[in-house]
Amino acid sequence: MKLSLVINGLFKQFDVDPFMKLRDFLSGNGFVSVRDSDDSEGFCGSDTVLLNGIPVYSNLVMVGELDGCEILTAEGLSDSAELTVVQQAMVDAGIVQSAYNSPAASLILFWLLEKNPNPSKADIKDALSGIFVRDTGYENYYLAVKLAKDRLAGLDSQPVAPSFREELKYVGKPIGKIDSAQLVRGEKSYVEDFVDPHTCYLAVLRSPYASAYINSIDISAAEKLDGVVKVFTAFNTPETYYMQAGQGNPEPSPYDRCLFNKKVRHVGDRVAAVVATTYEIAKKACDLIHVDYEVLPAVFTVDQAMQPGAPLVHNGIVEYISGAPNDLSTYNQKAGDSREGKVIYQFPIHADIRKNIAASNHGSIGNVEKAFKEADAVVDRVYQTSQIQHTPLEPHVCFSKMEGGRLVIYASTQVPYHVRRICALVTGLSENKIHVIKPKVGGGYGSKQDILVEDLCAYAAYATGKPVYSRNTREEEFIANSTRHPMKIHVKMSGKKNGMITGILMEVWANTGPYGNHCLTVPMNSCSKTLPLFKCPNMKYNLKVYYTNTPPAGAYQGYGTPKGNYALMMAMAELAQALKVDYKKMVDINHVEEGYVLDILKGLGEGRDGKVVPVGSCGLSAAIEKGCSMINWGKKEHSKDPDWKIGKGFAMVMQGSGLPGLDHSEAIIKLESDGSVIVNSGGADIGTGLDTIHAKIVAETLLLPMNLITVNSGDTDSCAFDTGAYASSGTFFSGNATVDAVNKLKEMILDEASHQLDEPRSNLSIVEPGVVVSSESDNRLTYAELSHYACSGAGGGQLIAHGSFVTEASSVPYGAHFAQVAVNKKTGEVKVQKFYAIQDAGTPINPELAQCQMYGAVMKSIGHSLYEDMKLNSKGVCLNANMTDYGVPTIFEAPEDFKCELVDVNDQYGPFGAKSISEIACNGAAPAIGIAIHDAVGVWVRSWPMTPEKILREMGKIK
Amino acid sequence: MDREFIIANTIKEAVMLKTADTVYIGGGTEINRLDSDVSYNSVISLRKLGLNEILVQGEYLKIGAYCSFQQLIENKRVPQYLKEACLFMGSRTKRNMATIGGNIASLRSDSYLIPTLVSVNAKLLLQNKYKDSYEIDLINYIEFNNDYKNDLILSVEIPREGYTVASKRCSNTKLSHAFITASMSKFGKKDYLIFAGLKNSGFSKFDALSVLLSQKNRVSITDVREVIDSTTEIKFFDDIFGSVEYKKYLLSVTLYDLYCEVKGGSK
Repeated sequence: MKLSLVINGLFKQFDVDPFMKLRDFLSGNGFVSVRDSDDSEGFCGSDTVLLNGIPVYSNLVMVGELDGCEILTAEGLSDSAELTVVQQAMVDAGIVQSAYNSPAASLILFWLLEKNPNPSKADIKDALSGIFVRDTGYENYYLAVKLAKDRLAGLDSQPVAPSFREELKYVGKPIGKIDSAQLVRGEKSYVEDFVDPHTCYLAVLRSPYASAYINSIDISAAEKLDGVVKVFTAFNTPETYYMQAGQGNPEPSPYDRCLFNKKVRHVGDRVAAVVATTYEIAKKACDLIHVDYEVLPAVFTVDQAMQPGAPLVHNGIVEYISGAPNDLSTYNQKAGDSREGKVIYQFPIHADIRKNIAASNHGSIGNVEKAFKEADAVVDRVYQTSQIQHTPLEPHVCFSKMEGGRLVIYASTQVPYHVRRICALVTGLSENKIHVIKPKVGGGYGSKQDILVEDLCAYAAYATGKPVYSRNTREEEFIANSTRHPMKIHVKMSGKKNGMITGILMEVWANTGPYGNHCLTVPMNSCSKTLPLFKCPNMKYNLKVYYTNTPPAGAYQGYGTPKGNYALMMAMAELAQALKVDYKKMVDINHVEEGYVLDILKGLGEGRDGKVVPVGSCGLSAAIEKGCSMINWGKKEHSKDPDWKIGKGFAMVMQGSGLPGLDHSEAIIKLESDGSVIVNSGGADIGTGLDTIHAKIVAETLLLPMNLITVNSGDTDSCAFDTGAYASSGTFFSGNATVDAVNKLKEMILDEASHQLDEPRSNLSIVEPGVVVSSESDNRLTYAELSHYACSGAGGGQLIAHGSFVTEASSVPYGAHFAQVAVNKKTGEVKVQKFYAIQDAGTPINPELAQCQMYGAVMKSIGHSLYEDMKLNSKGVCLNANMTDYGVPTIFEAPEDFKCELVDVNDQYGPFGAKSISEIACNGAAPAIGIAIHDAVGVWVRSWPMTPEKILREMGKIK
Repeated sequence: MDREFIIANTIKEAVMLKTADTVYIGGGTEINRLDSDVSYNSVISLRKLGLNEILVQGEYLKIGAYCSFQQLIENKRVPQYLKEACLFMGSRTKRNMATIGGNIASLRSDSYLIPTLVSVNAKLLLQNKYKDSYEIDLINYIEFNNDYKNDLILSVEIPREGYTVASKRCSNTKLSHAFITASMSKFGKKDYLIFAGLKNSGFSKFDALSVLLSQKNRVSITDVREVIDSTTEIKFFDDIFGSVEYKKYLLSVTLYDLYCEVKGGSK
């Protein structure tokens, strides 16, 4: 069909397939800002364009409808290098982070302000109702509109976020993210933008059964299909055991899978993969593969998995790299069918696959039994959390190719070096033969800490010699990725009439699904990042992790902490009720403060002994007091509508800043010949502003303007090793590596200046903007002059500093989250009226980005608490593997009054006093909302999500 | 047969070209969406047919089938109850696209508009290749859809006066699929009309409840619950949206609330 269109102001004619979706058409014509997050579900809005001046989802439009139409994409918003007012406002407000649909949002806000220069909050909410934002929440979108509106009207703008550390120029100041212009404009940024022409596509045939042996696979028909390059199965790929968790090596997770296994262990498990010239051919070929299954019974809950005689998810040979038990050969005599494969442990994690136990741990301080016996009240409760998907806007995606005898992998990952290591294991290549490049990441939240598509995509490129592109569908994101571990948590807690908590028993039964990614460490975090909030002398924990045949579990922002914290805080509130003690009083009496020695940590290492340390910098008290004041704690609120009851709740939160003793970061900083600086950081910026942190640290230390600093990160060839962006490690570990490197570079600059100026080193110092000056003479040497000479052939060569960071020190962020909810006593509906998250992040290096990450994390947690739940049927099929039915919260579910604030604490170990920000904000919403629901209608809802049906049931309205 | 993308220039042309394996395309939000259950070989675009006017015709408001949800919301003549039903579709972007005709023709049990339109005895103007435009009640279009599924909806007609209407949509989140969409109107002296869509169950008029409401001066929530518990007009299922017990309870509460609202005459 002939088609005339005006795209971004230019008239063009095309000859097109009229059935083609507008998004595919635009993307194919180079308008990469128009992206796809939902496979045409009409939900996420990444595909939004303006059609004849009105926002539409381009995935829901056939181009045959468009003859004579005008289309505007984000590329057309500006024809200069400058950002538009709206785009700049978005950057300033801190909402351009992972940014996969930021260009779409910029179009919508542009449209809104064109139509209505003075929009109300309701107008803004309506405009953004078609956009799903997972990373930053929606609150600062209102701020962005205000900034844009004011600037368009010629008014001065308000500060976008508070500043910290007056003495510093860049650190602690809201001055924007260094890559945000590229992102908001919709320039090439993500893996999909780097796929070569004529690349092959990979599609995966997935198991329809929750548990089955594969008797045989007939791939002959698929192989004959024109365009098929190769079909991979368990029968023609190496039996190399590994696991997909991107963790420090040796990992506390079992190697319990191969690329393909001869036993499928969940609906959606890999059975075969097809590489073909198009995705459609690859999918068609999958349909032509005939698989003969021997279907086996399955287990879906920890209660089922722990039953004597329960079907075993793994029942093969067990091996240990170190620490094998003496009775291993006897144990292996009980192994089942050879198709069970193997499970290989790097070291003992107290597993027993013959009982479906993937890992376990226990420990204690004091004597809880004695405490329970002597208490004035004891509560004994069980809490249950649900299976939750990360739903990043950019799904898991990978592009791999062989180039010059090396395997090049473009990965949307939090862990480039773990990707390289695991792909090396799978392919048999040495690490120098693999180059991992991490472009921008369109949302991770822990799911991209795992190597879920890179292993297969890289192997396919290596084995075929062809460039191969792999991209999960949204359904695959749900059924074949990683999810938050569902947990059943038993808490027994005792106290005295004065509110003193005397004993805490915490038993955790976690469901890791069919494979053991993070199976020990996620559940351990449910204890190790919660119990240390309490000064209680008697504490005991016992955790067991079970294999089941559900979709796999893995890392998720907050790790195990949101679940453990939900259980512990709810139990404390229930204990306060039993003791007739005010909840806040109980919190005040029992929470830790600076200097308190955390004996409970001695057993809570990540597969090793933990280290007992005192509480360091701690803003917990300040956060509690501030939040209580903001929400008028203790004052009962009443609704004008008698059907709605209002309640309040709050919860303490903590996390970590990386993993002391395990994490490791490095940075290389080069002084270029004109005095500018390139930072090669091993850290992986996943949209959160880590690259900006490196730039600020360098600018602050070398007294250089930010525009003279370029950060290159997450590239395994040019950068040095970093364990990756997880466990809230980025700022603390990668940032401290940059601190180490830049301090060394500063010393090198002064040494070199001393040599070049022939002045004693002690006379010299640096001043802005990158100049060495003498205190004793008029000598001045710019970095440009210094570096030019150093590289001139007569000098000592380029100044390059290498820094690294490892530590045993813990910098723990603290905080408290407050909720006010309205609960409809007739329908059980819950509205979050107010939510205040008050946190201590040490020195927030990027305050506006930090606040937006808090908003985003809280929104996720509100979703987990009230709406999100992967629902499986009795055969293990996920019934709501799409965005609409799964239940992610959007702008409609955001609290009416929503504030995320930072209390000012300067940490002794963090770079410029910084601690982590990204995970802790996931930990408070569930208990705060749960406690508030109880305050409103008098019932405790002890499982996620806290739905209207559960509330009605607890209220006795339904059976 | 080759796939064809037909842009009809007249209504006559559109209906003459309609076959069993062609579909009319309006806003496209249903046909183009993921996992759409609309199957087709060819499509007939309605964009040039001018079916997007909203006109007063005597006692009725005539709404062109190609009018988008957002167009209805922004039109001063459209009654508030219908605007509110349009707002059940949370996404503004989608409301810019989805049409009233498309929402009716899709006949989804979680339809945003059908319960509200049926509760005011809305009529449809249809046309097919054998018959010039003709009018039927929307309820008949739903109940006997096999007879009309190849017809083109030209317009929807709603009475301009005489009905007090309230509607409610129950869903997990605002953008989730609804599991209950219910509407009730009061008309005449004390006549009530109810229509509800239940996801995975279908539509029901709940005639027994309408009769009860019309006959009794004071109806309690217990009365409503008894009718819903004993109804055979629709089947309830346990599914991802909730248990049968929950759905019956919530439907009872919803219908009782709607009754209180329309009885009070607030809309």
